[in-house]
Amino acid sequence: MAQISAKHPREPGFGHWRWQRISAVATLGLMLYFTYLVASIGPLDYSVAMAFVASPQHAVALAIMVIAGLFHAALGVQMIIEDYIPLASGRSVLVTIARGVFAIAAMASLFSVGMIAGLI
Amino acid sequence: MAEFRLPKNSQITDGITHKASDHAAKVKTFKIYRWSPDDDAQPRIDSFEIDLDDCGPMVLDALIKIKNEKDSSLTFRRSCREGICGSCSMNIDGTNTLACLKSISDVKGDVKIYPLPHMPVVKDLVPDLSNAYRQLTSIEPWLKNDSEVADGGERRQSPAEREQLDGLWECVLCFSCSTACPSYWWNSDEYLGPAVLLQAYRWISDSRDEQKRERLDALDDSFSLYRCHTIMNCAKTCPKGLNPGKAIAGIKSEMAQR
Repeated sequence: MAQISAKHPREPGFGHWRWQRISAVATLGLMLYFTYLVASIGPLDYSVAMAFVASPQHAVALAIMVIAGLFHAALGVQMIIEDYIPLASGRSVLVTIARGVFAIAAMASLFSVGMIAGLI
Repeated sequence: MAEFRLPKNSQITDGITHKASDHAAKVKTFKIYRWSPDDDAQPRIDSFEIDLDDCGPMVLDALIKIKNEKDSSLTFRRSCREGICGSCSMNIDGTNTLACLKSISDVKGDVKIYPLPHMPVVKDLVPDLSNAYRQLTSIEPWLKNDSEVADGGERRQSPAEREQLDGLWECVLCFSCSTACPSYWWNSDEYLGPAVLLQAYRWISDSRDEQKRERLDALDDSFSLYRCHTIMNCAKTCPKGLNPGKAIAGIKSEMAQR
């Protein structure tokens, strides 16, 4: 079978498509879960919020939500860059930078959750 | 460097008005994009006033009448005049369609006619479809199998297997859908576009074809197939009432199932 996208280095497309959907479902489910939880604990001041995040169950779920959400965002931004930035205008570099930014955001978020939960 | 202005050849000027005769009763104005590579002139919009009492019902009838009677230099593709050949695809009243299937009476006000969007123009209403045809060739749109036919005769299909091709085989390759797709506008060098992907699915769905795996492998990169963002302009514009978006979803489903 002929090489179709001759100008573009062949990155598998199905994996990106699949993970975009898996991360969307995971993020949506966890966001609904947290919306329900936060709404159900009543008035939320600083100490209550810290205690909420410090609970191991919530900390793990929050960590998963941050990873899934930022992973989904990184995949989406990659798609936007690929749509609008030609290969010759630095598409690959921009995708790498975007991935780096989201990776840093994910590490910072996980570090914060770990700090509050007393794991770090 | 980003370009914030239209390229010089995209700035369209007012052209010539060809008046209808004084005794014409039912006059309709056709505003038609004109551009020729033979001079340095900007593209222009010529106006042709046509007496509908003396013209066939379809936009293609009017174009042929204009070419025969008013301006023989008007250039467009046409052949069958009944929606089978796919030659006369163009942008009429803001929508890509076949001029032979577009009724003049469906257009309110002036009939504005442009070539298919976002394709290089050869002349007037004739776009350069070389890239689209090259992409069609790349999916190898023919039956591929290595096995011998048992009785040495035809490769048979059950009626149910044949039904899988309905909604696919009817495509006349006019490329109205591909040229209506924003993803194809931005990445037509890498994304195959709805017309070619519908053809790809036509062969992926054929029970007689033995190269389904290879066909799917060839589409599994980040551009050929997955630039489709289900905008669905393709289904909206198709003059044959087909749904290329559904065919693309079918390919994605086949990818996910294998």
